[in-house]
Amino acid sequence: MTIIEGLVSGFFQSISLSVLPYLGLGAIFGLIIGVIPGLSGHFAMAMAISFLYTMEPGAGIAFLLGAHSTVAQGGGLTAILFSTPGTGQNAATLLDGPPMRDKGLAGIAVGAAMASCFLGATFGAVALALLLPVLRSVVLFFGPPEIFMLAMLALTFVAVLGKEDITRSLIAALLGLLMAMVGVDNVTNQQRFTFESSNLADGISLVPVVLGLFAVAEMIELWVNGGSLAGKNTRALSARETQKQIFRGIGLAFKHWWLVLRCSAIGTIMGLIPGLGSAPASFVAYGHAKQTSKNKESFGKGNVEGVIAAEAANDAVEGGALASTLAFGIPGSSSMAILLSGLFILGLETGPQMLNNHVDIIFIMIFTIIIGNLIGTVVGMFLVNPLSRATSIRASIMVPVILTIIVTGAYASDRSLFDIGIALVFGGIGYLMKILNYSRAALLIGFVLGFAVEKNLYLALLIDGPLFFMTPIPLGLGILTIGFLAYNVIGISREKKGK
Amino acid sequence: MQSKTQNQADEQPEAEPEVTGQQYSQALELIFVGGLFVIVVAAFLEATTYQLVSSRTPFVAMVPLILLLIIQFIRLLRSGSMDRFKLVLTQARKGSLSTLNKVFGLVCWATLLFVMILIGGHYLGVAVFMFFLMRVLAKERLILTLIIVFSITIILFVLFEYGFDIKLYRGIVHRYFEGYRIF
Repeated sequence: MTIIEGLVSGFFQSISLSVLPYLGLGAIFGLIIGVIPGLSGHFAMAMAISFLYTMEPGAGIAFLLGAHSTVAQGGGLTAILFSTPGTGQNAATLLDGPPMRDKGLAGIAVGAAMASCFLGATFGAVALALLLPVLRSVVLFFGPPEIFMLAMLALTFVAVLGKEDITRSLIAALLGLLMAMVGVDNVTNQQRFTFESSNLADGISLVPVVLGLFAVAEMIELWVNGGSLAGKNTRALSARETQKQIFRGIGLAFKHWWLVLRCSAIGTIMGLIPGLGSAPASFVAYGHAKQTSKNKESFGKGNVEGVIAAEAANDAVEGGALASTLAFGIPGSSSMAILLSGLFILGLETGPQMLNNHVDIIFIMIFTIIIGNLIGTVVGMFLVNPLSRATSIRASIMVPVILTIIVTGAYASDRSLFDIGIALVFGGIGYLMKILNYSRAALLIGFVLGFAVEKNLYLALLIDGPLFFMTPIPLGLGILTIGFLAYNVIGISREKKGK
Repeated sequence: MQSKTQNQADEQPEAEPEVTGQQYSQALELIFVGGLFVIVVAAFLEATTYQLVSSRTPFVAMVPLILLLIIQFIRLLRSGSMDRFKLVLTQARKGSLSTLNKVFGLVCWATLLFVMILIGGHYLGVAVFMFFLMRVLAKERLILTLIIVFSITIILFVLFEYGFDIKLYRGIVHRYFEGYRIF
């Protein structure tokens, strides 16, 4: 399938009646999740993934990515309205959003944030489309040794670049890798770490692990902390006075189009690097906006450019992150790891096969991101008030209801009671990891990559022998991995000595 | 007079210092890392019994993992976590750690949820779970609790049974009366 054929087919599939309703549902679902602080993009995707089993690939992808693409928009809303970022990636919005609200300009901030999200996401999606021909050529150079070394590099990036401590993140990543080894070995038929249980023979299911690590863990934390997700700041905006401001904010985002473009480019490039994620990208973009602004002093005191920069970058990340996920099957973030598992569930394989045979699916993703963000912007504008009220639902109501939905989703994925147990156990583990500052993203990415690591290590040893890493690309990737790790470890030890 | 007051003070048991959030986290991490270490070492020993082709990749993950766990354990011990661990353990035994109590309570209810689903089926299990969490633990109003419990259960039933055509688990009791003997 050529790229043009894929583009046309992808576009018509995205707007077809068999896909568009799912996209709309996913976008609204993501917006609601995004509004609720603490529930992030991967939570939305983890919840969405339980419904994929009965869907066609196009509809499933639209639902999953639609949910994911609007989370940042919802998160931006609460960051501005309640000084509580709905997701970690909206943290940079806190710098200028709430000061604008305090000046009585909340509507402008919300409008600018939502429009910037849409523009940033569109930029990222277009960048992904433009990268396709390059990726098609590059991916052909990647055989088993290259993929194995790239997976190791990705794991190192995720562990080192996350906000958590390096040792803890590496422990989490390796633990995830080890978890992926549970089950019958495909090569020797040897049962590994199964305790002779038939439930573990096929390995630990991904869906309950994802639900447990992210969704159950968040609910345990909410139950422990009590109150409501929005905390004490539950004042809703008055609808009329904010509507006018919202449209002014949208206009401002378009007026600062050059800033949007630059910050979106920062986001897309940072999205290509596994492990960086949206939060650092939005802070880098914010710093760039401040440095290049004529009005530097007003940053942090309610400058709309600060909101535009942060929101444009954090949505543009997805285009870049999708490129590495689809081309090499190497997810750069936990959300991309969940997306990858969603693709497995829908029977789709990433890598050269997808880039050559399923270009239409890639374009469905691209159009889903664009249309999903557009739906999010429109719906978000008119639902600012009702959506923000969701944050004031008490933990005592929210936790039992969400936990019920989670266990139902865990069961439905494989019709297995064992999976409910897995979700609950991993909920406990996820909660512990969260409060102890162990990277859950690293564990999940290690777990998702485990199968690829094992398969490619086996093939690499079979094809090239024990010195498979001595060819140029694997050697380069290996040196990069060790060098990157060493550089960061030395940097940290110097920092400690300095203190 | 002064010596009498002194004696009285000596006789009184020393007030135990309160556990701070950091002490609690460090003690918890000590347990977490220790537990992981035991599990990974056990897995390592288990893997030595496999064929090399099957144990190769687990070893690639486990060797650095064991080293990292040892490093982290030593870091924790050096930062005085063992003393904090003892303090937290004493407080936990007395049940005076509210966070731990809440987590433990929720874990117990989650375990019960699993058992209830197993015996009574999915819908009964989740309904009872929601009711107890909202009404008994969180002291929500009875009417509100009942409305939420019934509406969520009905929504789940309609969504999964009719929307997605997924039959949720009916429970051992129901299956027994349906004639199943394997559960």
